[in-house]
Amino acid sequence: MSADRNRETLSALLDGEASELEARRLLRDMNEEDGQQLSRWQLASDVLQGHAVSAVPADFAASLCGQLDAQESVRPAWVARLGQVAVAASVAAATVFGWQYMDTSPASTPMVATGEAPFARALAEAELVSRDFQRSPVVQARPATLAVSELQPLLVRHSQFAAEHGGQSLVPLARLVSLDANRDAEE
Amino acid sequence: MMQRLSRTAGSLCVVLALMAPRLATADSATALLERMPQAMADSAWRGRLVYLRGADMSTLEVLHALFDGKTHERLIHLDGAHAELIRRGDDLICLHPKGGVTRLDSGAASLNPLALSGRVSLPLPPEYQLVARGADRVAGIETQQLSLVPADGWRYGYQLWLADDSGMLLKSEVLDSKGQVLERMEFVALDTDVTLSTTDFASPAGAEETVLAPVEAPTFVGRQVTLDAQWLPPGFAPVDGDTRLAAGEPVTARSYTDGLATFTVFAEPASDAREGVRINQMGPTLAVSAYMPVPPAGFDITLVGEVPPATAEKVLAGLNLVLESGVD
Repeated sequence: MSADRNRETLSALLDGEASELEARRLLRDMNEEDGQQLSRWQLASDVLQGHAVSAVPADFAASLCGQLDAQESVRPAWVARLGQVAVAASVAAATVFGWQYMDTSPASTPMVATGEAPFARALAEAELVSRDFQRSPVVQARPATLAVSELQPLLVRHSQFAAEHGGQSLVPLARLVSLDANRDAEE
Repeated sequence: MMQRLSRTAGSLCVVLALMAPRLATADSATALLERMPQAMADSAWRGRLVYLRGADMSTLEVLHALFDGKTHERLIHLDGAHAELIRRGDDLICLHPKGGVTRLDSGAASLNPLALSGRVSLPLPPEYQLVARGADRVAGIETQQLSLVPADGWRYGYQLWLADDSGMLLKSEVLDSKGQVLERMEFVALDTDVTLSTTDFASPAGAEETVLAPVEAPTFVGRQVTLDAQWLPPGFAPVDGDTRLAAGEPVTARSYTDGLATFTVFAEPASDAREGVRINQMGPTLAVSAYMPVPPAGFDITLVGEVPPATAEKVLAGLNLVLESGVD
């Protein structure tokens, strides 16, 4: 299989023009280079279509994930993945909120709790945060779990909004009742 | 991160493309989808459905009717613990397994111009590719199966089975970026030849109630806020919001949707400063909470919604809080 032929099939796949057989073959034979090519084209497509591209540095979470991977964990794989995301978020949040605290004037009314600039600054410095984290021998605490019982009032309100606006009116309500009935198992 | 998102979106495109060999004839599939939110809304019907999320499976009885122009629905959990939900227009009542009740009453007015009275239905954004997968049967009813393939990694994918004649949603799946089903809802029986009355949707008597009452004006100086997301995934827009009292504190909510996926951001005065992030993933529903210090105190900010973790993370990072300046 030539590289040119693979690229043609990748392009067809993104355009929705690849046949099922071609797609299956490509999936089977896809290597890392093909995956990166597909990713680049998807990104280009996003840009051309005016989709927002992320301002978060590419390695924002990567180094944190590496730290987490190094930890011994007895958690199931999906919990571990969540933990990685959450720790990345926790670093962003801590930085952001720290900036907020320092930048906010208690006398101003109405008071805007920082907003874009400190958040953006925190994101821009996320790479630095990651490096600091990498250097630090301190093991980041695992994210705590939000109890369903604590979430319940928020889930009720979110479900009502989702039922009204999400287009699948019954599904959010069924989700809420099922979660409530199985709450003990969740916790 | 963007590369990973693009890659995962690409993977989902591939997976769903394999499952969906032909593109929709746009008009028929779009028309069917547009009918979905209001399908069978004016009719009375009773049905049974199964809901699957991970290892949890629930069987629910569903009653639906329209009285005085208000949608009435009742969902009863049939297996395991007893739980119910009654919806009467904008009022929502949840009966919890241990006997408690949470009541969400509609307010006379809302501070938010996009509140319940002024709600809008968003058209499906171009961030989803609609694919028709052909005919199928659900609960003995002829349906058309549609796939909604996300064009980016900021949202999940959907598979919907809509009744041929009414457009009613009879089966639904939410898929992650790898094509794994996170949640499935499927009717197993539907009876449209029923007569229902308002007593079928009556509130339970004698239960201990928690009322999440709406706050009609900015009365909690320093403790009530307005939420503003500086960044939203493409296609998402704010559609609703309110402030309600919970345990005596004002909890502000703002909800966002792209027409299918919805997430809501909440802000409530925090009793203690917390460090780090707390999370819970319940099928497609993610909850992420973090403490935001805002002098003189701080707020717990929580995002609840059916979006991937990366979306929640970026929305929270771009969130603005404005303290209300009303009078006590």
